[in-house]
Amino acid sequence: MQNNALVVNNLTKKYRDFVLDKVSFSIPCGTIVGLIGENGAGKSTTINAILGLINYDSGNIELLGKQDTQDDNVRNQIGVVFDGNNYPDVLSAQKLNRVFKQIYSTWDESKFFSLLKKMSLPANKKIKEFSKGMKMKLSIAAALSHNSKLLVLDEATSGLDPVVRDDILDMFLEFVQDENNSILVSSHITSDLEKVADYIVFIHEGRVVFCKSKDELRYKYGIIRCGTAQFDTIDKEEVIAYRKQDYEWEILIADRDKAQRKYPKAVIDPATIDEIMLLYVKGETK
Amino acid sequence: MKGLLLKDYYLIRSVLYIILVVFAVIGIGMSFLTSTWVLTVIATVMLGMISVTTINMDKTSGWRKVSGVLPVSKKAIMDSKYILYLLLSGIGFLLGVTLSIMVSLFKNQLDFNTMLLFISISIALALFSGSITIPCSFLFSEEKSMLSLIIAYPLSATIFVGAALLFDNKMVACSMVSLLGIVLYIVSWNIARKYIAYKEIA
Repeated sequence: MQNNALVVNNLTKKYRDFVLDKVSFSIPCGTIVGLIGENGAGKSTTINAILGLINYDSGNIELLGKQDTQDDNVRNQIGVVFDGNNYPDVLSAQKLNRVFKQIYSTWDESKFFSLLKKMSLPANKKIKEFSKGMKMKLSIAAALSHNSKLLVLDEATSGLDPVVRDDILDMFLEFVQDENNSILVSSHITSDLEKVADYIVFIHEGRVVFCKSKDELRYKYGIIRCGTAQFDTIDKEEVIAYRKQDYEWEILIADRDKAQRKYPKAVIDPATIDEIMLLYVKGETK
Repeated sequence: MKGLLLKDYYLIRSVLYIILVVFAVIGIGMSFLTSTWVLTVIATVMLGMISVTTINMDKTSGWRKVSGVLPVSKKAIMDSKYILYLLLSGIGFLLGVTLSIMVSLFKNQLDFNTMLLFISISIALALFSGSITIPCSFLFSEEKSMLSLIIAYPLSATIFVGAALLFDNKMVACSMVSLLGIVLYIVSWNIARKYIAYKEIA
């Protein structure tokens, strides 16, 4: 059994006005990896390259232990959910089942219908009559119904209300209960990733800024909030990024316990993924 | 491949009644104005055209992107559209021929030469337009691919005029154009499999 469901190594794709520059990360089996970054950072380009929807200039991708990502056997084991529409509106879940039964050799009809029931989705209603949340749940049900080992979700939870998002996150957690299953999920909603992700890959301007475990970010990273006088005393070698707010400085550090020992009077808060992302994007780095 | 065709069948079924109404109105009108056999041309072209519209329907529904991650080869996606076009044009052709024969017999005007002439026009027109519109629908945006639909038919008509000027015999001219249509369709299909299939989707 392979250790990683996905390995992306030095993935490079050049456009006229954007470069995805040597992106590297991996998804260990049994984990959820969250891909974060601002709009246009390269998240969707990375996912499209992984899925073979775009050609890339250099680097290599290994999906479920195979270099050939177009292999039918590999594709049978990958469930994909895109943001927005995924299926023709005139189809119903019932018809979609008939279509996928012909396409996926591993299609599990009974699982699909049990998921529809669990998600309270009607089988005979046309997709055009579904709400956005129902459409997304249907896409996830389809992605889970062909014995997928890897789920790839591109902004799948954006635009959904918190209740539907929570239902979907629960499904993700249930999916990775099986150690052979893994998920790559890109999202703007970092609070969702804080709930479910094991690792966070942060892409900024086409480059991977960091690829770290969520626990390291939550329990080790911190933000020093201080005035200008204290800011000047802080050793900039330990600072990842900083920015001046209206009344204080925000300083991102990688080890808040160490910083607390060094600056006992400083106010050091745990950093959320949102704050880390903002400081990297909008702050100054040393 | 079967799954892709089944999905297209569901798409086509959802718009079929509109097509049948349009066919009835245009077909009856044209058959009174010109020859009864024009029904064959209209039925062949109209049904073939629906299969091309499924390519744009795939784009707007998001299926085009989804199809790129399914366990079917990129060539199979191209094949399914070219096969669908032949199937639907074939059904339209048979429907048109049957209706034309029935109406001709009813009017006691069954003429074998006219029948052959319109049959070859139907085949040529369908294949010419298909070989242009299918790849264009894959390559261009919905607006631009609509243009290819508009351009394909006058272009086919121009080829007919050219053939009529080259050959004195109408039957020879139409047969040559039909043959050219078949060749062009095969060439278009091969180009689609080799190049268009590997075009970036996202």
